[in-house]
Amino acid sequence: MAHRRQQSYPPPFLLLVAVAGWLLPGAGYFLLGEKKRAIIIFVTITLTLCTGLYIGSIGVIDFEGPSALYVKAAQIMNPPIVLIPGYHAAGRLLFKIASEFQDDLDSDTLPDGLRQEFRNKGIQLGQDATISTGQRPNEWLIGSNKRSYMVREENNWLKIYTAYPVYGWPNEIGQIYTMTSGLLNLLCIVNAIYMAHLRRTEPAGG
Amino acid sequence: MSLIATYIMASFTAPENIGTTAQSMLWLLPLVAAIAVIYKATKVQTITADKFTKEALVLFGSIIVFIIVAALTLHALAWLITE
Repeated sequence: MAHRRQQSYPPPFLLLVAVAGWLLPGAGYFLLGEKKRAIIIFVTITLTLCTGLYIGSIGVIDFEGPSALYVKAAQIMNPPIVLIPGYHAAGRLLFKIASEFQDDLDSDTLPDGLRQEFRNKGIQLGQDATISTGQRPNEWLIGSNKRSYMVREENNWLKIYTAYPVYGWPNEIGQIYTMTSGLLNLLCIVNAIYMAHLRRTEPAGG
Repeated sequence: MSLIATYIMASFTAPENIGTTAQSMLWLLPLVAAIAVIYKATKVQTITADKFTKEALVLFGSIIVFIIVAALTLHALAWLITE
């Protein structure tokens, strides 16, 4: 079939379309002059991602945790801003103390000394604070005032991390939403590249 | 940071309470709507409000009908096996 160049896009432009589409959903189409398409895609993918984060909290973005590889691969196809909740959800070290409270923690008791250590760091644990065993050995989860903290015994230190635990249906549904928004973004990136490619080699008379 | 901004940020740090109830199935509707809209946004040649809305609605309805048929079939199959 005879082909003619309708509009000359250099190959690096296709790469630019792909990168722009990943950085901001719909931006690839915007570069191609498809503004309505770009707006629809931006709004829909952003809303889908935000819905997933709302349902399951930022804890569903699990780049460093035990989630399956396909979950991480699908979630990373979201715009890179998703790395921010991913960074926080992975658990950041707040402080560390000598592991003198481990026996209390093993018996699922929140010792007063540990409460005091939190207070010293400006974190007030409520009277209704709960403690439970974590998913890994020597790991405990403290829940208080809708906030959670992970306590891990590492090298004879008790290290206290931020934690955003999410289990059950909120986790499932949140992950499905965030994965779907990532995969839809991938679809849009591929389609924008394809559209740019077609414009480079439009069939003669077509 | 304003109180409203703090409240919005806080709503993303704790999961919603979703039980294993029949109503929780309704969470699939926004997802199906998003899939239908994005798919049609990539497929429709020229985007006009009426044509795009119609096509997205038809796809949304088709997916929902398919899900209902699949659910009924699985339910019937489970009933036949267990009864």
